[in-house]
Amino acid sequence: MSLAAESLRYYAGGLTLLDDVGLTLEPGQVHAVLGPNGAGKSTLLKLLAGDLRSDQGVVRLAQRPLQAWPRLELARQRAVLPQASDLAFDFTACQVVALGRTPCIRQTPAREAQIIDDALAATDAAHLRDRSYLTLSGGERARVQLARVLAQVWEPAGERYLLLDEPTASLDLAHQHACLQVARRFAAGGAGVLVVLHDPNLALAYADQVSLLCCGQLLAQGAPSETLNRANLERVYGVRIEILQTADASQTLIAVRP
Amino acid sequence: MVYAGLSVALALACVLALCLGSYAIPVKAVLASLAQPLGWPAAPPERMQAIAVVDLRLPRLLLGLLVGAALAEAGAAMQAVFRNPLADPGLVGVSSGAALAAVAVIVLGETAHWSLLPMRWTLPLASFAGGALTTLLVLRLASLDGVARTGTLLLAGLAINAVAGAGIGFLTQIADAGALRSLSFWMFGSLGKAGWSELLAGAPFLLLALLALPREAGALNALLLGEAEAGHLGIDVERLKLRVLLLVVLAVGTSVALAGVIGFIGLIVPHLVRMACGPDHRLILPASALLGGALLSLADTAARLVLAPAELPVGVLTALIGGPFFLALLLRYRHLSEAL
Repeated sequence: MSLAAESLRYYAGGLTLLDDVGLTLEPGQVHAVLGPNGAGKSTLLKLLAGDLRSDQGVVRLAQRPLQAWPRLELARQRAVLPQASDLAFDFTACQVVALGRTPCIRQTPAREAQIIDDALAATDAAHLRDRSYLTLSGGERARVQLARVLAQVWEPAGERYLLLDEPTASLDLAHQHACLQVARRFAAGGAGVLVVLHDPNLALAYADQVSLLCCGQLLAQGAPSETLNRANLERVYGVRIEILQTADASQTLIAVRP
Repeated sequence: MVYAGLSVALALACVLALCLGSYAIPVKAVLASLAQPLGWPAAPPERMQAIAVVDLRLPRLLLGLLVGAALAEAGAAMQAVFRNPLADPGLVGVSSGAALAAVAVIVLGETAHWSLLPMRWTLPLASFAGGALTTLLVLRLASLDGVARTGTLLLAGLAINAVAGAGIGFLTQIADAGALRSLSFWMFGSLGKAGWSELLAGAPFLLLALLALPREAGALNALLLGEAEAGHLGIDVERLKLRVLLLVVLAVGTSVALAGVIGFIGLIVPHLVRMACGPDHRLILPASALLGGALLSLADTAARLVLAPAELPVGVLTALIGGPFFLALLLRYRHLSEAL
């Protein structure tokens, strides 16, 4: 069982936004998608989420094409965090997270409240519980939205999928790591997590698999330490790269040379 | 809590609407008049009072309650579909589109003598069609990436209202004076022509919309997150929008056919409710209906009293209160209106 895309092609406005991209998101794994702006990362995520339909190729969840799944069943096992969400209505953070439970088979009210609190706590947003969403900062909103997405597939444990589009974009350093630690926790619980990232160090530290996209094409795919090598990164980003080891040799770091 | 307050307001509105008017009727006489047709034992009321209560004030009260409830609930639902707290069936032009269609049917029906159905059926159908066409137009004009921009929405409404207003003006000029109830009836709605037969023709449509809209409350809450987000939560967004807008147009079109264009109820009432109990539509939709009914019949009672024995169209009163309220909201949602 997996969420798998085969040779996806997607055209828009006379341009080929994705060209022959394939990807398999396995349960229990964190799969990072990296690439420069305009590489097709979000397009790929939208195809995997079923928001867009590919012009060629097919996305299958558990061998069954995405479009053949009833919406509700799909929503019960995969949650999607889009890049930016705007909300013109005065919900509290807690209410926003509760909306994530819309498709779920309802538990007891006490259990539902517990899930919402746990999801908020998982993204370090428990203290924002009763704040109005409109008064939150960009990073706080991002954490509340992440909590909403987590609440959607909080249970049952087992095969679930999370598709996160740049969840770390507006987060501070500590919360970027906290976010990916949550992704790892979900993966440990059997979920397949696809995460679009910009920071190769985060991918190196937390991902099991990396897809490196450039100009709509898959440049490399595989283990982070192999795909995120100097040659690939220099080619994709056009900057000079140095790969460093920490003093105790426990961690590899990617540095950009000015 | 909220419902208790609303019930009190509703009861108050009923009592005032039945007792007050160009001449006041004591509560006891009102009760006696109401009890008599139901066969309850009571001191027989005076004939004039009984006629005023049962044949004039009661249908008018019920129409006010239903139309107010329908307009308020439709406004709340439309704001959710457009994901914009300033969307209102009146401002956006749906009401005047419905009114134009109704006026056209009256005038054409008068001159061409075609009518397959009695007018009390043709009229709601025509307003429904007019409202539906206008809604489609607004939806096309204002929806970019699923979000209706406030500026575009209001400008589209401005243009539609202008064109529909001109059309209504033209038709009322060429029409036989007897055919139309008067220009001001359509431009500033009134409950003044309410009788039992109109009420019975319109009530099923209004009740259908009133009872069906709250069933979509959970999905509308999710829709506020965004169309893609609602889709990820398992909601068929296109069909949801279609269902809700059809019900909105049913509510608004029927209201217009019965009482003309009564503005701002759909804007003010959901806002008052949101201030009191937040943005959850499971609460907003039913609470708006209760408050809308109470407010419109209170406004109608006031409109009957101000110039007694003549009466003011109730739409004049709602516009008088609603206009400044809307300006205050525009200021409050500056951040939205800036995002033209």
